[in-house]
Amino acid sequence: MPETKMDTGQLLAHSDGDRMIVNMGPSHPVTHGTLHIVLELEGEIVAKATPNIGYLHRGVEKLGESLTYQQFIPLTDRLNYCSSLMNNVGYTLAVEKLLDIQDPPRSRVLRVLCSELARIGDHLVCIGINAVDIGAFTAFLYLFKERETIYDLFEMMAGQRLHSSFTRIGGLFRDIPAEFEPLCEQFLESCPRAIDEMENLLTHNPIWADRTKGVGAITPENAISWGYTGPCLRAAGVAQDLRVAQPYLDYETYTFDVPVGTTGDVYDRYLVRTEEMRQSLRIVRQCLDRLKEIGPGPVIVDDYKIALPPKEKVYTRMESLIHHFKLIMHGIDMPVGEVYSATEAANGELGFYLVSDGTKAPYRIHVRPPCFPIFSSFDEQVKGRLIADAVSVMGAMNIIAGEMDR
Amino acid sequence: MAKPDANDMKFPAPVEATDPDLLHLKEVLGDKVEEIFQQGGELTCQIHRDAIREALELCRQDPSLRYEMLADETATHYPAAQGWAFAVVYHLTSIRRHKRLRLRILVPEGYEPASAVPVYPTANWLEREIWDMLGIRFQEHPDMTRILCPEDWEGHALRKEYPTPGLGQRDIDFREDRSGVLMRLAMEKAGNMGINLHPPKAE
Repeated sequence: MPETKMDTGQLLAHSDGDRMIVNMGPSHPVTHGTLHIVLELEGEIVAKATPNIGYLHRGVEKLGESLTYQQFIPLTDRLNYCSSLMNNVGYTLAVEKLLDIQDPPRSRVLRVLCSELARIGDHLVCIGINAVDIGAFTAFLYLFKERETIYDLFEMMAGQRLHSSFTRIGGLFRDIPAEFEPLCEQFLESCPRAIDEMENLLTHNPIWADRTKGVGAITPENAISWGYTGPCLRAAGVAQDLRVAQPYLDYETYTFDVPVGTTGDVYDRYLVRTEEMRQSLRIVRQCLDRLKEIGPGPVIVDDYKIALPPKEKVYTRMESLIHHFKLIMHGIDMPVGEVYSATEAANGELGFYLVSDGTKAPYRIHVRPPCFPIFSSFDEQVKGRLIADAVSVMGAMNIIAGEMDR
Repeated sequence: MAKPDANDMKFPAPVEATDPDLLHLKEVLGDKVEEIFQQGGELTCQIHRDAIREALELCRQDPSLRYEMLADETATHYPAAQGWAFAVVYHLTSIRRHKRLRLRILVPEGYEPASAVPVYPTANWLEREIWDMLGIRFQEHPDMTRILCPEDWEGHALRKEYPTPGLGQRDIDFREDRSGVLMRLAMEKAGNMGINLHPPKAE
């Protein structure tokens, strides 16, 4: 198909000025969330794509200004709802950076553990759905069985499958139950098999390769200019992983590799995500070993000016009751200042910018969603390509409307 | 005012800049740099609002700085400030050197800062979001339209005077048939099929 390689200028020279407008979305099966793309077509070739976002805009940042720091945590679940635990961790790390505190060692390991499980879950969804959009339905079924196990693990941890709200400022809501570890061990056994099964179905599948190789290719320079982060940037050949580059939660002490692609196309993004799942499983393995090493211990800081005292103390001791009341009514005493804290979420760099004026609620809270800058390059990515390529590019970008529109 | 004691939290107070990047910026830009400081390990450089394009170009191209990526751009409204109303912040990332830098400009109401799009293409949507949410327009921006709210939305939601419940949503009068739903119900009651032809209005 040589005509798919034409750029827009050549296209316009060949065209008779008649363009067909196709609306993709706002509720289209491949948009996975409510977003709208206006495609201008020359035959079957995209001449221009105009994304139209904001259908899921809830005003999260505005709401955050009237909630206390603790109350904002449930709203972070709704950002990237495929991996809500990572958003919880990212937000609490930002507040802890502002407070200049560190959570207990057991909580740090558990945070890494749940982040990596969430990363696997997010990548499973991304690859599975991308394959379904392209027409390979079977891989999706193998992957979603594993995702169910991940959600069962989340339910054991947080009591919730999707909207976990697991972290608290200074630690975690609670420790993991005893049944967690056997199921997690079982998951470590079964997940690699499911990934192998998926690779058997996709990696050497000629149809999958035809639909993905060379589609959405991007140079490293362009990817950086467009603000690409996460698997999309690594697929373009830039070994940038915040877990390695600017470590948080002691990530520097875990052993894992950062997979890097070469061309940045959809196929490379798929390979990078697949390998990242394997690396995340390695980290989960190390986390379970460390939990045994550390043994039982506190999962939240022992400072009642930040974290609520345990219930039995509140009911029996005056001091704890006062702390509980003060913390609920007046919130945490925050220092004045601003902070930008970024973590490596499944889609890329998830940043939280907080401005504190010393009161219980943030003066300004800004979320830097990973897919917002990535999606802004959508027109560049699909210009001059077939309309079917737009579908696979969008799937590989992993657009989550919840975090993009906030 | 309670006396501070040992239990009080430590504030990561701003300290004098010792980082070579900040000193380099100060050296090259001279008077255009209003303030440089470090706070909690973060580098902040406040620049005069007219020099932001120059500073961004310097940060991107200078061989000793090399901040290749604009990670984030956003703004904050300070209605009580004297002489300025918004702080626009740019969070730059250097992938090669594993560093971050925050540039900040203070702009008054109605001032249009130079757009960062020619230097960092990713600023396109970020600046559209700032216009949408805070009402700051950027000069030479290729497409200065709203992004999250519809084009006919009134007001800018992240300004401090904008109420949290939202404009026009506090006093919904259900007797007024805003979306045409009452007419549809009346038609259905009369035995006709009601199809809602009114577009819902956002006021």
